[in-house]
Amino acid sequence: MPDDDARTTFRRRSVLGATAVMATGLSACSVETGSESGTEGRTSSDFTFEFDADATDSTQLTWMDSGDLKALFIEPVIAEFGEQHPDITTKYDGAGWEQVNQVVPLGIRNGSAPDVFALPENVPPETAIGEDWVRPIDDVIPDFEQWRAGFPETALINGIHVFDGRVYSWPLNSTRRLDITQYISHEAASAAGVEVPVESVSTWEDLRSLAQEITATGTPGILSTADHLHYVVANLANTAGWLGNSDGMNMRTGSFEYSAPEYLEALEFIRSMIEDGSFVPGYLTLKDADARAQFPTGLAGISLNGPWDIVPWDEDHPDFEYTILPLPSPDGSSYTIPYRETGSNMAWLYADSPNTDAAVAVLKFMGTLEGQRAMVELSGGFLVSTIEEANTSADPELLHPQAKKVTDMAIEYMRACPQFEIRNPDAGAVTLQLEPANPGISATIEGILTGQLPDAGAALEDLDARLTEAMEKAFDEARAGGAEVDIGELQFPNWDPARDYSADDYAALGE
Amino acid sequence: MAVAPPPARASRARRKDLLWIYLFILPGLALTSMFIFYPMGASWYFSLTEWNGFSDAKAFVGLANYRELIGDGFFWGSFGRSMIFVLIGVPLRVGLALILAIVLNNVIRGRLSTFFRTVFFLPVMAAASVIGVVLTFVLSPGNGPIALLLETTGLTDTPVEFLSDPDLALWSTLLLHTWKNFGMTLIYWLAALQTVPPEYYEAAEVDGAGAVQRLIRITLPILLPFAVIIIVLTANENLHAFALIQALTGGGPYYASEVVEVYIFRTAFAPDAAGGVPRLGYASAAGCFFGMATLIIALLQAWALKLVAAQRARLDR
Repeated sequence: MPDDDARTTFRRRSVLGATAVMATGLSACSVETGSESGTEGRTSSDFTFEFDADATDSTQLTWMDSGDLKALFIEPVIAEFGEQHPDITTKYDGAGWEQVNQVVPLGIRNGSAPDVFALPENVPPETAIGEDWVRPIDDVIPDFEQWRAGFPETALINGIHVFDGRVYSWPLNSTRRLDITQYISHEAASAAGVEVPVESVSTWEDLRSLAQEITATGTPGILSTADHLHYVVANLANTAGWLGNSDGMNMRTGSFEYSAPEYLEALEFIRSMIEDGSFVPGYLTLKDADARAQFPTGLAGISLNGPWDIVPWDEDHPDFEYTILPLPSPDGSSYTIPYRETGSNMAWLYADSPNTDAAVAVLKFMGTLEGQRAMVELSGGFLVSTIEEANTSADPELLHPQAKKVTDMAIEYMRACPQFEIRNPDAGAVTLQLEPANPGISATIEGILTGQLPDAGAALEDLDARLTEAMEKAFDEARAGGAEVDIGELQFPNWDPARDYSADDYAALGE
Repeated sequence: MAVAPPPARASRARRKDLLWIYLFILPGLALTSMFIFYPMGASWYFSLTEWNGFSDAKAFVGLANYRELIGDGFFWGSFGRSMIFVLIGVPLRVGLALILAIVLNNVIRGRLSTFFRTVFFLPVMAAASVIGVVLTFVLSPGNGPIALLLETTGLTDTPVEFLSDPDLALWSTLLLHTWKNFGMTLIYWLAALQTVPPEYYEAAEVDGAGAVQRLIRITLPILLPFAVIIIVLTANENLHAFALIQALTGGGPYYASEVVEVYIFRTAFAPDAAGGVPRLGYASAAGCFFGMATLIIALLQAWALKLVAAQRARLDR
């Protein structure tokens, strides 16, 4: 590379600065970053930033998001950018959602928001754009179209990343990740006389029996928290053939189906395990972070959760041994879980940032094949790229031993389902008008399991009705505002849940 | 003998004094206006709008938020729980604190009394959110010390879900709130007891009055005016249980321990699992409505106590 090239590179197989990141779960929990732990992030990628320090007004680069797994990637990249450009002060703050929810709006009000940030949980992108919090990236990223072409065709979605034809954000990583799998503690299983590693828990009855056996030894069989319980029920319902997505909508019929028989069956199965006494006492008030921290120390035998727990377990309990298995189905038959490939961990560029050049240099690198491969490697393989080559070309030596298992499971069991946002560019107008159902699914499940809502079927039918009413109202209001949308566009009659819904399938709808 | 200054000079001096008085009041007034009067006024205005709190789009909706609020069962549920905190929590705390204050004032003397006062006041000093977090571990039915104690002593054979049983959650939070703030009410009563002149007790003893008679005939009548203040202050504290409840249960399970403050927070700020946007206008309406309701209750309470005092005065005559 010529010396006068504005791009700078970090040598291959580099050992980056210390990155102490307690990767944490879905929930809004704090993450420690930046402390000297001696953890070395390794990657086979070149860290190449297109940035000319002499031709910019940028003096710093501040980035704020919720931390979690992505901090394993973002923090070292930003630190490396700072090392390559000592005149630029860099700061990564991955202090959790609560911090993001409070600091970002405050920063916007007083003109001191981070240069790049995650949107607060309760601020829709449309609002952030309408209020001029964020700016498009398509006119500041050099050679944007070439950069965009590196992503799959359906990666950048109207109403999620693209608004009014302008690109504002992009998917840092894929959403193809199983939120709920079985993590079976070897110590608890052995105490119950079960051979480890546990080979198979393939039916609901197998899971219930194993939980009962472990509970009989004095250790509660099942660990799940109230925050995650609706994911557990939904995924179990999917194993029984329920076609609902993460919003409870069957994309074939375009209707909310929480009251479907399969969903009720899954809920009844969970209730049966609670009545067995297999659930951890106090599961409704147990915090995710506490559950994660206590599981390796014998809080329960089987944790129903996602792969974000693995890294913290490694760091805090390196001797903890466990088996990872997919969720069982009612009779052991195969199943698929529909998911929406919207991408995860979107970052947004502050509209009034005086440091756009620095921010864009980092953003651009992160969206290249090299950057995405670095993400896969630095996260040990737990963050999966939407660019398939980044996943396949990652150095296997740098991946966590369990990551491939988790990723393979996601590939085996998850199927991309249709998305209204991909079908119609005006979808964002509906999202903006959509009011949440209150109580939502999480609270409703809580009410059912505590007996406060004695008729589960009626409670879920009521929820479906309220969700439908809110959706119809949102469509009406979006249309009144000039959006060309029709509620019938939520129906995808050609959806086959057994395979990924593709661009050809969208085309085949005859639109 | 002092000679009064001529009227004109007196008036000038008075004006000068008033000027200084207002000058000294000004900083406090400015701060109070900024942090109390303005937010109060703004809340009333926001309550008439549909506003998410972070955009400039405030749609004036008149009384629509109040109409919706009146039809919201979850609001009335939380209102009822707040009333339980007042109607049950206040007599419980005020009564127990009075008994203990009398014991510490008249029975236990010296260093032991100081020790107990300190012990009961310690929880008041700690932040409610910190106490809440610690108590979730203490009360954890799986491996908390309370659960272990109950099990090992044979009092229970299954874990008691203090915070996640819908029948227990509200009462658990009420008792914990009472325990946390008990020291404050105790200090109020101890201060009130200091105002009872010892000569009254000495005279009563000379007349042959026993301890119970001294309590009924001397202590309680003298404490009655203080009781009005202490009850109002305690009621006010019991309506501000947000931090502790949020840390203990978050208002759950399924709203079983959600008081109005938690309801307001949930409506105003808490992101919904379904991705809903906050409703600061609606939450403001809930706050204003609840504020008015509690003001009316406080006025009724003061009026009732005034009636009692007047009745007593008539009987004394």
